[in-house]
Amino acid sequence: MDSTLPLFQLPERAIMTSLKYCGVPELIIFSILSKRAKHMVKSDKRNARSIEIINYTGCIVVLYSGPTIMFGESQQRDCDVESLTPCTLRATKAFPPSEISFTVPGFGGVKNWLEHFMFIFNHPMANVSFGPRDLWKYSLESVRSLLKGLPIGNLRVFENACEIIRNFPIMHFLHIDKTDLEPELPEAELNFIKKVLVGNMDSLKVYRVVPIDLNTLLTFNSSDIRFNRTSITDKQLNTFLKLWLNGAKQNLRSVYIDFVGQRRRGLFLNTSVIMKGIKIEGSTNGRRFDIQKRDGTFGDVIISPCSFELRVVN
Amino acid sequence: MSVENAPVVDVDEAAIPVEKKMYYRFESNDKKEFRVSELAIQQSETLNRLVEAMGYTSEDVENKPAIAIENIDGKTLKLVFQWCEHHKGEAIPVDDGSVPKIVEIPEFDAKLMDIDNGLLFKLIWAADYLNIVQLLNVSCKKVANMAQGKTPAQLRRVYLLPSDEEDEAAKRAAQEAQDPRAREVEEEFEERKRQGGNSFF
Repeated sequence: MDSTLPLFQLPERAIMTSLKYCGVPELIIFSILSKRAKHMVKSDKRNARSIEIINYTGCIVVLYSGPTIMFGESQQRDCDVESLTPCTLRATKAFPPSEISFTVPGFGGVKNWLEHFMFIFNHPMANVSFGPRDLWKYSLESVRSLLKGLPIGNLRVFENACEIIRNFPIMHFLHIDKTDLEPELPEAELNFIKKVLVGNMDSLKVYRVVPIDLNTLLTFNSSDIRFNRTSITDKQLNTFLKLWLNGAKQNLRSVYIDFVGQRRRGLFLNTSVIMKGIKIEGSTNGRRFDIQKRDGTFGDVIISPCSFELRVVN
Repeated sequence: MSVENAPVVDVDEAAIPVEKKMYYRFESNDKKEFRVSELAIQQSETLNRLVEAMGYTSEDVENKPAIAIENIDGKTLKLVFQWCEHHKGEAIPVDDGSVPKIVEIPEFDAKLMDIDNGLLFKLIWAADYLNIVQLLNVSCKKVANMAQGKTPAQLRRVYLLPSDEEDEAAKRAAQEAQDPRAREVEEEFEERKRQGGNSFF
């Protein structure tokens, strides 16, 4: 019995249907066999939810449906990413639990796979997460060359914020944090980071690294903002809401402030000060308020004892 | 002209209700004839539309020539109609575009498709041409299963996948076949280049 079947001589619909029934590991192997195969897998639309370089574990591709793919995992610290060539790919599934490992000799290293997955799984940006410095598996220089020419989606930084941001200045989402043990950044570094935060990023999460005051908040251009280290007072929150109602921060979708410092000191937000002089369109439990701008845009203000949130509702 | 068993799937005649069933006659490209029930025909969108458009009565079926299916041979058509008879009355799946697709190959289908890959290839073409969605699904699932656990080299061999160079050559050949003048122009261009000419025109 003939064990071969000329796939590309089948009708287009049959080829695509066959691919839809293929498992992800088979699809990955198929995709590297020719340009045509690669484009076919792309058009199969097994889209990735995220593609991320996690510097303390390795690279990970999370698909909307199907296994999670891991590659470039290293046992060493601070290694050169490309030294992991050929890299092993692991496809794991939680339900039912399964894991398939395979390598594709001759295909190339982590960068090749990264670019390949971004292409075939229709995900044009890579996220990067730097954990605590002691856990870095790849050297910073190595990650820099890995990402050279590739758009960065989310950049998550935990410790060494300045050093990392200097290397990856363009991203869509920035999440920076530090441990409580890490010393305060010098003034020059804080100012550098503040300048970066003013950039045109979609989303910002700034925890512990930089104290945010009202003026700094007003300079942010991002539409989603979260932070937890702040000197903003109740009265300033009131000012912020009034400014927003009068047309400031037009592109804002949400701002969330976690008043961690106040919580530690046993202080709580005062709703009546925050909402003073603001026309309230509707209220729930005295903690949630609907407010409206002149152009008709609604804002949903949620105040808990130690957090403030404004969500813009179009 | 040889007449294949009619109907394709053996039927216990005594068990058939008194109501008269409508059958259609089809002929393959190698002149094999088949009688297929109206309900089985509904699995094929192409044939269903065809018989609807023809508006045949029972008498027409007997008196007029069998409907010719010119690009499918008897061996393949027999499998197709066996499948349709077995699955007659079943709902036709609608593709919701989701991936990965999930389908189980029923025991009957697995046995039906226990054939060499040459015939499987023809069966898939027939399922596509006759637009029998579920037959296409199960046969393509069988094709997908061939990839399981294969290395790149094995997969290339199983699916007879051409390399990029072979794809390019085939594309060029197809273009040239479409436009024979293109080859002449290319040869003329190459000749002028060899002679050191800078300009083609």
